[in-house]
Order: sequence, then structure tokens, then C-alpha cells
Amino acid sequence: MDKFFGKIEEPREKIIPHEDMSAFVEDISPRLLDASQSINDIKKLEDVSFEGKSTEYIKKVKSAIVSSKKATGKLMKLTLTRLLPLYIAYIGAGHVMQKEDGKFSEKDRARKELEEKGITSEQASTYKLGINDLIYRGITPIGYPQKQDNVFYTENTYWRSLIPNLVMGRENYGVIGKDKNNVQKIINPDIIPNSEDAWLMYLGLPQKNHTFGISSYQPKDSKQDMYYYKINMWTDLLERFISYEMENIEVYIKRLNNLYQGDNNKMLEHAEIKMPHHQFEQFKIILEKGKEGFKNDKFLDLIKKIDQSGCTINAMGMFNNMEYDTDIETLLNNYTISLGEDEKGSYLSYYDKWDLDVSTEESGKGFGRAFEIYDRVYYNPKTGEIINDLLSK
Amino acid sequence: MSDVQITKQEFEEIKQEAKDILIEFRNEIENARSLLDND
Repeated sequence: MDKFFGKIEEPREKIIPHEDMSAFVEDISPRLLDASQSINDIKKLEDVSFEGKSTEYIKKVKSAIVSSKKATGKLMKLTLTRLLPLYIAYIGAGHVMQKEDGKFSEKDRARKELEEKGITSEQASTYKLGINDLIYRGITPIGYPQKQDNVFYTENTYWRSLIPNLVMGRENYGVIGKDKNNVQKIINPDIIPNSEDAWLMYLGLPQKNHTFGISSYQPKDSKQDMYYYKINMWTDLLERFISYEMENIEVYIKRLNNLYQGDNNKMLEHAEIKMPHHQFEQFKIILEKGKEGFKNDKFLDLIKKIDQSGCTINAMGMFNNMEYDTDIETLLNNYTISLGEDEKGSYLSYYDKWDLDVSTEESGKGFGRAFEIYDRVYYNPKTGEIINDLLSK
Repeated sequence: MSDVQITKQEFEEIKQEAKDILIEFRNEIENARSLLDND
């Protein structure tokens, strides 16, 4: 047979026992991570000043630059051509038995863990020493990876940038994005603190920027008994969202107030002539109802909009019109906002599942663990006032 | 499904290669650090 088909490999010979592979990956990952983190020391050699230095020292430094570049090249090649395919196969095969979802009644325990350690034990159960640190260092958590046949495709942006990220550091080499002025820049961890926290938590590592807390609520129609994460700054963001248009108008009101010494009629006459119609309408509301009244009206407008859409909207891009940067829109890639009511009153809720949409997440054996975000903001449906004392509970 | 499919020989080669390259890289790092210390 061999002479017709060439040498045929026996399938059994091609199988490496999971334990052997696991031992190798566990041994190599921390060393690879250490190498990646030490690479800056090599780069520093290129900045050494030769002024006043001996010929022998200069020769040694120049020689070290050449040989270290060669060693870096070998390390890159090894990681890209040998280790990366192995890692992908290994991750796809499953290496971690994760904990079940935490029950809703366990939310206080989860909250305490998150406050004290920056991570819940459920999320931490996906962590594998070295491997997850390596993936964290190597991948920028922006956008979704392409997948083919339900496995990571090595040509996608995530994996393609992994090696240069490991070698050069994500802060120096990363996904190129555009800021709000349409200027291209490197998306480094400082620019996306909330997305970074989501990425850390997904990999079982502690969050660094206090992005997440544990919600006191679960969706009314939730089929699973589990606790949910909340975004600590979401309500602040919502409050800023409903009041941000007021900022410019407030400056105008202050100016007119000085000019007409608080005479509302004169201020209105002036504003009607000078201001665009839309802004003038807002000006009138602030003048008549004050700042809180303006905010409440805006909030009720939002509620009306959601109500007219069947009580649920896809809220992607909701905060994008604000004049300041927010990473929350990046973090919540495609989330929903809904309206509801219970014995405590009317509420607005938001929901998202932070995942990479890969099959290993469902089997619970991947390198990361998806988590679900849900929280509520209660309000007075008549006045539009956000009820803050319920928020802290 | 819990096993990675490459030949044992390939696996041993990768292990050895990774070990050698990481040792070489480690030596370069240590050399660089020592030169930087003497700067």
C-alpha cells in the first residue's frame, strides 16, 4: 500500500496525551511570558551612549545588539510557527474544568471577592498560570475575532498581533484605531481601561480599573439562577448622557443672566433670536424647570423612545454622541436596554454577555470564561427622576 | 478530543527547540542586563 500512497501515519502515533501536552504548556508559558516581559532590557541596549566608553565595551554592546536580535528573531519564529499552532490546538481541546455559574444567592460572596481580589472565584476558575497571562499580554481586546468552522482562525487580527505584542509590548505595538478626531493611534491599555478590565476578567485575572461590580438584580425572565455583573459607572454615564446637552446652554444662561439681571422674559426674547430652534426649546425648559427638570424630561424622552420600540432597544452607540470619550461603548459591543416594573417600581435595565463567541466558551473548557452583565436603574415614571437610593442596594 | 494531534517525534523536537531557544534568549537578556549595569 505504501508504494501507492506514500508513507501513511498511524493515527495513534499522532496523538499526544493531554497530560504530556499540559505539562509542556504549563512549563513553557511562564518562561515565555518572562522572556516577553524582559525584552525591553534588550531594546535598552540600542540607547546606550558610547561617549567616553572603552572600545571593548562598545564592541561588546554592538555584538550583544546583533546576537540579541538574532535570538529575538528565533523566539518570534518559534512562537509563531511552533508554539502558536500547538496552543490553539491545546486550547481548542480544552484544558480547564471551570466552576459552575455562581448562584444569585451567592452575590454577596461574589461582591466581596470582587472588592477584595478584583475577581470572583467563578471567573478565576478559568485561569491557568502563564497561559492566560500570555494571552492577556499578547491580545488587545478590541473587536471580535473572525472564526472559521468554530475555531480561532490564525489570520484574524487578534492572533496576528499576538507575536509582535508579546515581543514589543501591547503598549508599543497594538491594534491601530481612530480616536474621535479621526486620528490613527495605537489602542494601548490606558485608552481602554474598561475593555481591559473585561478582558482581564474573561481570562480569570483581577480587574485593575474597578469597572465591574455585582448587580443586586437578575432579569425577570431569567431561566438560570445566577448572579450578574454590573458596570459601576453606568448610571453616572446615563446621568451625564441625559444632561450633557445642558452644559453649553448653562454657560449661555449664565451670560444672559448677568446681562439682563435675571429677567427671564428678556432672556427668552434674546435667546429666541440668537439660538437655533432646538437649543432654544431646551433653553426654555432649563429656565422654567431648572436643571433637574431638564434632566428628568430628557430621561422621560428616552423612556418614551424605548417604550415605543417595544420596551427593548439595541443600545449600541447610545453614548457615542457625547463630547467626551467613553470606553463603555467599546466594552458593551452590542447590548440591550429594556424597561420593566416590579414591586419596587419602574426600572430601566441593561444587559450584555461579554464573550468572544467561540465554541470553547459553551463547553466551559476554553482559555476564557464569558460573563453576563445586567443591572437596573429605578426611576419615577411620572417625574423622570432617577431614584438613587435604590442604586446602592 | 482532549489530545493534541502531532507525532511524538514532532512534539519532542518542539520541546527541545523551545528549551534551546529560551535558554539562548535568557542568556542574551542576562548579558544585556550586565552591560546595562556597567553603563
